[in-house]
Amino acid sequence: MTLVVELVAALAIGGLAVYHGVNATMIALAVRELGRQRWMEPRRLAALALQSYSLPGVTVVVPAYNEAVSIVRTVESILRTAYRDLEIVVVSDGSTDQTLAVLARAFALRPSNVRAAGTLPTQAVRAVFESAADARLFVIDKRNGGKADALNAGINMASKPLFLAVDADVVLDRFSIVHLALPFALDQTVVASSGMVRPHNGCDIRRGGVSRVRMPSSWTERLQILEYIRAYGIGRLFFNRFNAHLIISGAFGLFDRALLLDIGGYQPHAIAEDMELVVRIHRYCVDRERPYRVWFAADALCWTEAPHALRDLGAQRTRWHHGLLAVLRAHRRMALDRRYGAAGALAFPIFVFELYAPVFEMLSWVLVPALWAAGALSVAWIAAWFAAAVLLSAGVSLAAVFLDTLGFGVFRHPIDRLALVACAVLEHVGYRQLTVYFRLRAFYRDFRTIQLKSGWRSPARMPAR
Amino acid sequence: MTLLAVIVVVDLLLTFAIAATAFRTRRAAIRRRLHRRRSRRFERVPPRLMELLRSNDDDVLLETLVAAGMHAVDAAPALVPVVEIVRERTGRVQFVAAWAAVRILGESPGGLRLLQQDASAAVRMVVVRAALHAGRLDSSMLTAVMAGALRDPDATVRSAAAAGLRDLDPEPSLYPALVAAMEDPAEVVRLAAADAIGRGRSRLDPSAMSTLVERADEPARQVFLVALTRSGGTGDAFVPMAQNPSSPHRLAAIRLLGASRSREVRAALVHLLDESDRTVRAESAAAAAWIARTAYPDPIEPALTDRLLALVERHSSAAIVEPAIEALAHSGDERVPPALLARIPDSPQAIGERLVEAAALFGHLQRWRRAAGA
Repeated sequence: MTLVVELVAALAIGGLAVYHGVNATMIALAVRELGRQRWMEPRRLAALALQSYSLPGVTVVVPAYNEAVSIVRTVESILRTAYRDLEIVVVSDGSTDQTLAVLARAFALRPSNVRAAGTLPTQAVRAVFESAADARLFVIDKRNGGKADALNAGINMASKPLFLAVDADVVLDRFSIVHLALPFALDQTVVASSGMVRPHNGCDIRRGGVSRVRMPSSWTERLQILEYIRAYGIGRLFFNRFNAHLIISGAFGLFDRALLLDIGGYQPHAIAEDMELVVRIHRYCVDRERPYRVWFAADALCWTEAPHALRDLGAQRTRWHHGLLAVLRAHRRMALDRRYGAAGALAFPIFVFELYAPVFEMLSWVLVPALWAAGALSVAWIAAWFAAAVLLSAGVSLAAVFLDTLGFGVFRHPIDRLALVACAVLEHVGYRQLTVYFRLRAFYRDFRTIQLKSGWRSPARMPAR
Repeated sequence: MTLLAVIVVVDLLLTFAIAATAFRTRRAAIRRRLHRRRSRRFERVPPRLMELLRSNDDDVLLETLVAAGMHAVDAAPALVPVVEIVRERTGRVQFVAAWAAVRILGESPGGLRLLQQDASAAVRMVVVRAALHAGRLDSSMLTAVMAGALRDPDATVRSAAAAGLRDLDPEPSLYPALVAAMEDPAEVVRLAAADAIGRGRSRLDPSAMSTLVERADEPARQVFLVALTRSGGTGDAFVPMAQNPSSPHRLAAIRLLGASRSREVRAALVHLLDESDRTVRAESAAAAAWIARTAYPDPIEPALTDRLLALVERHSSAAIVEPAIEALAHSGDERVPPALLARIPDSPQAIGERLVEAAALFGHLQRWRRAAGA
């Protein structure tokens, strides 16, 4: 009996130790990758790129379903970015609120004769509008078909060679699109690129830009900021070294439009349409022996809104994990397939491990203390568990915070930096367990084959300040 | 536990060490060195500039190229080695060298014609960018360079030239090259050329324009008509051709009527919507829809609305009814919503849905008109 108990405890603790150990290794390589990407100071590089006239045209597509609260701020933010050849297409996916009306009022919309040239199948487009105030802006009003369908309508409408998908609640940094498009000008094989996504909760937003960066007052939102730093500071930079990105955030991803048309665009009704698309890009390019690269531009910055309420956070995390599960299952043939290089041999197994990490975490957070309380485990086991579940995890988070502070210095106020350090420790008191529960719920949802409607139950938005 | 604590500490130390190394690069030192040289101005030290441009160290090369581009006026002697770098290198070095070459050529465009014959597409691209953005280029030189670029064997060079011409107003002598570019194998070139011709203030004659509309593929035709409408339209030049049943370009002419704001054109459309030929009626309805969208926030003439309502009443063919419904939704005539909704019971489901959506769109547009004070 003791042997069985100790085996279970060893499995839980060992799993966690490996998980955090992998993250620690990823951090070390992420730091080197950031150094490699910084071959010129970001602002200087952006200015040079703009003067080079070599950046391809970009169509920014903003799918929106009942986003009346945030859509004007988002469009203003995109319009004020520094980019020479830009077009913006807002796709109202059968919105039933005032999305269309607020856009019409803010940007003086009028009917447009411009029609979509792409051929991806989508729900019917009811009307196309253009802005009398800014010739770069178009708005599509279409029948409801989901986020992927709205994005496909945007791909059809796009007239520029590059397609940028952004969420309806984002605020873009002034030079974000320049940094995102630059890899396409530097390397002809780049087919997609993504940038850094950070929550703007707590920040001041004026005239479509983040004017002052501060931490929010809510600890739930602060802890999410830490998670974003970990995911982008570690994961994306690490995978960039090996051309092994399996995901480009739906909030901020730039693609070669011709390639998207070739592969049939986004998959309608996919739970994680953004990840599914990137995995399909890998498969398409490898199967056709086409040289390709998926890039992460660390200096391309996009601000998004993290959920305020726990309910919204739970729904989001469950959806993300369910999406991860669905994509990994659908493309399981990629796993360890040498043809897919690091994407199949390195990233895929890491994501599989990420998928099952909540199981180890749950075992460790519930089972080990319970067994110790029942007298089945010694104090040494508890010490090992504490080291693996808290110390190692906090170490990884602190390293990510240091990397972020040294590399980007977004949070300048000492109180904010201290709050981030505190989050690295405090997340183990309740928050981590909560997110484990949210992620485990995805397995249950999948088991019951309850299909979550992808992304369109938008969480409560805070009005612009 | 001790082992794990050690791992955490080592992890933190490792992160700090690597971060410190990564951010304390040689680039800052190189920049300082160059800055000292730059303060003495390049024209006094050209041999030094040439020497630095031959460096094998990418960091030194990048900073030197940036300095050459920043001081383009004084860096003309560096054009040859900079172009050499564009030709031979790839990635970030080529990118910065191309930027520097564009700036140097912009200041002293004498070498443009010579470099346009270069074997490297990257160099020819530099020529196009420099020609488009150089302030010191006369129009005959620009026309010659652009005409050559539109015939370039490389599609990216051709598309850069066509796209650049959209923002200029192309000289009439460039039109033959642009018209030829509308049959380019690369879609991006076709669209850019269509846009450039449509936006240009000089107009092709009606016959040439009709031929162009007929021969262009649908996306290019669409882009051409939108650009033409935005740049002032066609007046009533196409009315005689559209009304002539024996004209070989009749359908193209009707389509071009949509790009006009003339009252004569609308009067002509009233009659064309009554033609016996179904294709003529469908094209006329599409032209009416185009006009109704362009006319917003002004309503279209009641006579045209009457004819469109009659068309919706009489026909069931989607090719005719759908553009007519589209035109009516934008018409601004208050009789339209009840008339559209009354047609729903007798319509197939797809048309019925379009009728409902058109009535809703009419409502949106009326509210926006009122809000705008129209």
